Amino acid sequence: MMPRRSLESCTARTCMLETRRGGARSSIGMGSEAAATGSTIERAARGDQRAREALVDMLAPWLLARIRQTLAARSDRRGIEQLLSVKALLRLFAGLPSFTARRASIEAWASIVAESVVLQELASSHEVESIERDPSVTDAPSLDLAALDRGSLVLLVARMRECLPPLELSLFWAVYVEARDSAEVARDLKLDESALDLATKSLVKRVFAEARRIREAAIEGVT
Amino acid sequence: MIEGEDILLRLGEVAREEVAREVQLIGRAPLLDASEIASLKRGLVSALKAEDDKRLVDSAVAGDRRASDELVERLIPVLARRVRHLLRRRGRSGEEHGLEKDLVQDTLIRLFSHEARVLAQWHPEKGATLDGWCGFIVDSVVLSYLRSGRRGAWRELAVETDREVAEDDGVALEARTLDRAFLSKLLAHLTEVLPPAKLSLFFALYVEERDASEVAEELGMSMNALYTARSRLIRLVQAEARSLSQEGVA
Repeated sequence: MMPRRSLESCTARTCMLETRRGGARSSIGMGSEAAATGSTIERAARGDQRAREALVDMLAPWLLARIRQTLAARSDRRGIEQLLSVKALLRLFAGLPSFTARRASIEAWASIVAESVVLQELASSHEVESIERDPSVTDAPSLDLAALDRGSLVLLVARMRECLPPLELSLFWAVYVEARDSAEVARDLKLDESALDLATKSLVKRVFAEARRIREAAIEGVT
Repeated sequence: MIEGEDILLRLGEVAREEVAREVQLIGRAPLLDASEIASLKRGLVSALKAEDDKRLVDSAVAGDRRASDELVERLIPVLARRVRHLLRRRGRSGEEHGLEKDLVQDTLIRLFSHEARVLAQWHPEKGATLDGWCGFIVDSVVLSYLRSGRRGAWRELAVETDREVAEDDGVALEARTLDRAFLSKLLAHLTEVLPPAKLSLFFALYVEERDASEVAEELGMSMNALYTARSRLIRLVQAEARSLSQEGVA
């Protein structure tokens, strides 16, 4: 079961981002700048070297910042940032032909992929058997999704990012956030089909348990 | 679909929206150390280049004629530069009797012969760029050419190795490292038995005594890859020295 964290700690990062708002754009993905970026992405997807380098120029700080942030939160490993940046960039570029701005801005997508690559790296040493033997994972009653408002879902995502075991978090991020093919993710995480099912079931149980806790806390707050 | 998986799909969507929101709040590229970012960009650009090279090499190895032509065109200037560099270091000019062109051609033949068997051995994930790796092959071709004695460049070494070491009395290997004749023989032996990549590294680090970071950059390797390769090289040289020493005793 995920350890309980205060709402404050889970939203601290969002608050930090708010304070850094400084030069915030009103809407990424709009205007001539976005059109130019879109054109660069299209050319890069077709293999245009200059466009690819322009994207590297644009995305390198985003990749490194996200990798550093995720590593700092979950590991004291140093010296692998470059390696992970390269992995993230190659994965990002491989997916460019199917990238659409509807999903997110390219910067946001780079951040998602970078986080996914770090989580995969951290999960790679995780023992699959430990999921099966984890006594804290118990059946949790299902919960009507509609019972959770958006704020609760955001809080739930924050708790997952902070508290899930590496393998399950990596699985969640790669399959459900980055939207990669689950068979491909299983290969990367060295899981066979049954281990993947087991990990997903465990993930669902943890999420339901935490969702129920958030829901109960919300009801208690109201009463 | 696993029971309850719909909550994960919904949460995935929320997570994507949250990341997009964070990025939008930050608004501009995160401020990080400029030199660090510059170094990262160089690494990323070369990783992209390695990906392109890998695709090209795979196609060429699979027999795609157009890919082979493109690869040859891409490699000729790289090989020529390396040949020139090696020849100049040994006081030779590549222009004499078209030597430079011959050596480039020899290297290409070595790379592409037997269904490009040598070319197929390049794997970017091992740390070397295609340019760096082909540089190993050039080194091997050039060194082998110079060593062959056709132009006498390495004859002084041959004289050293001709010394009789077979009368070795079986002293410890460590003590033997002080024996110049033994070292000369070992050096000649290493140039015969070491694979091109290791031979090139050996010459760069221990014969030319160049700085490790400079060698790593030239060979397109990370410092970690270089240190790993160096450790393996040392073990290999120790093994060869032991084997040679035992042969001498025998």
